[in-house]
Amino acid sequence: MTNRCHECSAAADGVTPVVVTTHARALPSQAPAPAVPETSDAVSLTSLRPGQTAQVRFTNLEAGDADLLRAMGLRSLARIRLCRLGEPCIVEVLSGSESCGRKGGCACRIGLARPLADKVLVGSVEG
Amino acid sequence: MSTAASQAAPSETGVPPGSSVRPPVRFALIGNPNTGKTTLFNRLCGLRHKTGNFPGTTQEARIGTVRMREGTLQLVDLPGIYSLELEQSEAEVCRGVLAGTLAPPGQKAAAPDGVCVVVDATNLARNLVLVGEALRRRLPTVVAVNMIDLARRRGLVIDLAGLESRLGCRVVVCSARSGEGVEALTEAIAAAPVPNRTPPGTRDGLERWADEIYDQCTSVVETGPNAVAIGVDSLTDRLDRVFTHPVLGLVVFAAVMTGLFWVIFALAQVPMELIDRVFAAASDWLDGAMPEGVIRDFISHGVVQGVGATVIFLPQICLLFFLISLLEDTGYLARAAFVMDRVLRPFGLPGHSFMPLLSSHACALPGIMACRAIPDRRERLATILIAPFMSCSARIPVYVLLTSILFAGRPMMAALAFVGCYALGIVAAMGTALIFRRTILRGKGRPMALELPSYKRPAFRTALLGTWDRAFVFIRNAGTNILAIVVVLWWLGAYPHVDPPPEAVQIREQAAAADPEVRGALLEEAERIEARHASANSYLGRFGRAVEPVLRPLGYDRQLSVGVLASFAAREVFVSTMAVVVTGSEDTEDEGVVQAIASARRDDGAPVFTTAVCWSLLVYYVLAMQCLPTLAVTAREAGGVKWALLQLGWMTGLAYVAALAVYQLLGAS
Repeated sequence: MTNRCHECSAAADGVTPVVVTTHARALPSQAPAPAVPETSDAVSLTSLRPGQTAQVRFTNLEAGDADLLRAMGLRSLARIRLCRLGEPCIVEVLSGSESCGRKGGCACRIGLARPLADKVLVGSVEG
Repeated sequence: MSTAASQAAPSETGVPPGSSVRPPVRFALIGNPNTGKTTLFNRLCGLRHKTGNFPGTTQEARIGTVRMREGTLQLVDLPGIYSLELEQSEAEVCRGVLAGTLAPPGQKAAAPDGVCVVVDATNLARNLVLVGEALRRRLPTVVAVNMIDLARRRGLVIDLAGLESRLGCRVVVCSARSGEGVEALTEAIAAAPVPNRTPPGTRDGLERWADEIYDQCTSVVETGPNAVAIGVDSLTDRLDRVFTHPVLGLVVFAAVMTGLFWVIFALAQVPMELIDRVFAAASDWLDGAMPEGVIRDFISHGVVQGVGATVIFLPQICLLFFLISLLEDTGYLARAAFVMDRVLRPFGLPGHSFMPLLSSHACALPGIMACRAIPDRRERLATILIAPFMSCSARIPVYVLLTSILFAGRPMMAALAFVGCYALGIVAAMGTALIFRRTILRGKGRPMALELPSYKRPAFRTALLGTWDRAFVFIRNAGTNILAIVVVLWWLGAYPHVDPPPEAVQIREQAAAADPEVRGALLEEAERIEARHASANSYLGRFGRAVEPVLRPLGYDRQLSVGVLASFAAREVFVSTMAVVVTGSEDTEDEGVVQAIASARRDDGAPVFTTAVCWSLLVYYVLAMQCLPTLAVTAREAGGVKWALLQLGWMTGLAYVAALAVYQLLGAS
């Protein structure tokens, strides 16, 4: 029924879907933060141009912010499109793990203050 | 059964054979924010609901009833949440209700008989994560796929049977806005079984589970040139660029707010005059129908005029709530929050503060409660402390009274003065926030993340029902608390009875011997002197005299001192207090309440409401903390009485100094 996206599948296979990291400094009493999965092509969301799409690799935020963004849909492997760069950054989160390349369908918009957007790392940039 | 117009067909795939079907009594309604949950609640329950707070929390609970063939269903509308696991007050309330440890007001704490998860058809993947969390509660569950009409326009096809099968519960597509599928939803709720699937327990697993179901159960078809597509530069992008632009965004915001208040004043005038006439006529009728005496005065002047002086502002309050609700529904307010983030940041406040501060323009109580959504503690405290500076609806009666006196017959000037009051409150709030954030609440701010809902035509029905709620609360308050205060004030103003002063006795003697042409005038003069003497020697008059020295530098006489002190419990009481005080000393026949108050005289015969006094009072009421319930909520929300005392001391001190400066400046010129 859906057209499986080759690029999404490849990305999904290649990246461990552990996304959310926490600042150890902000949570001194808790267990050390999980290791951040390094990917060679990860760049800051704010380095994209408006209209470009990309895939979320990981975020480097404090626990509360990271949990909220994750629940809002800005999570590992989520395909996003940058709609506006600046203050705020506006991204469109394209639903589902295979949503890239679809026209129509599902999406939600999230406005992010620039300091948050700086700490969202993305890869597989297109457009 | 893969069709964009997926009809709410009876479920066959999702319901396991032999699963226990319990007749539901109470269902909890949960969902992500912006899924149309409240619109659906209103569609299902209409006016058959009541509003209150969950005990021990600041989260509003709306409990409604739905009449069905099988009986009555009770729906509990829970706060919008992104996840049941988040450390937010909204999620805490939802967890408590679903676990049976928290119950709506007036009910026993027990787990609901089922849960209805409202999901947005155009954002299904994310919403399914919350569905998974709900399914793990093992309660009879129904999933309402709302906004199906919008999903169709985007070419989204939902395999309803497949979705039911994979979720293991009933799924109904609907559009709360148009009413489509709502009847099928109530039928599904009535027969909801316990789900026969258990989603993964880990967050990662749940997200993968949701993605898989989304991929398997949805597809996109080409829907022609008019389809609303995503992933391309759309009208939404262009509107967002304007509404969040550093300069254009502010211009639009200022224009929207100006238009909002202009509409309120333009449309409220006629119903306000009507209410004024109705209460005046009721008072006149009572005066004619009842025998002269204390009881007649109490009912006619105390109760009717006192309550009337408050209820007269109901049209403005209704319009304010109605228009804010419409504006929120369009999707604009979320963009405005980011515009305000840029504006508020220099004062140490986040954009999150915008909605609490905007809500505080209606009432500081929900505004302060809404501060729980502000993640950072210092920013939250700063917002709580400044929220009462926003001009709430309780101040509107005072503003209207004073601007009407200042600019009688000049509505444009009155409107400008009104806007000035709002502006002064905002300026004071920002200055206070800046001071606090650089002293006792020093610390780094937390950046903002907010979902920007789709732009859409606002739902009038939802706005009307929300306005009805607020109006009902206001009327209930006017009919209980304010009425009680009015009655007490009337008694304090009417007792003890005193003998007429010698001056009045002398005039009456002169009147008895005078020609009939002048007799009437002399008797009127005697009555005026007697009434003023009685008022000055009443308990209220003595109380006013005791505190008058403190307020005299601000230009307030005994009567105004009574009004200011009486309204410490609630600002709007000022107008009704003045009505009682003034009608006890002046003949107000054939005059409206506002005119009667405006023509009030001091004991020495000078007018009470001079220009300098009016401006001084306006400034005082903009800045002063005159609301006991707000102080109580501040103490609770901020985590200590010391914050409430700081708020009281700071605001009242600032108000006193500012009002003093204004009076001295205008009075001297």
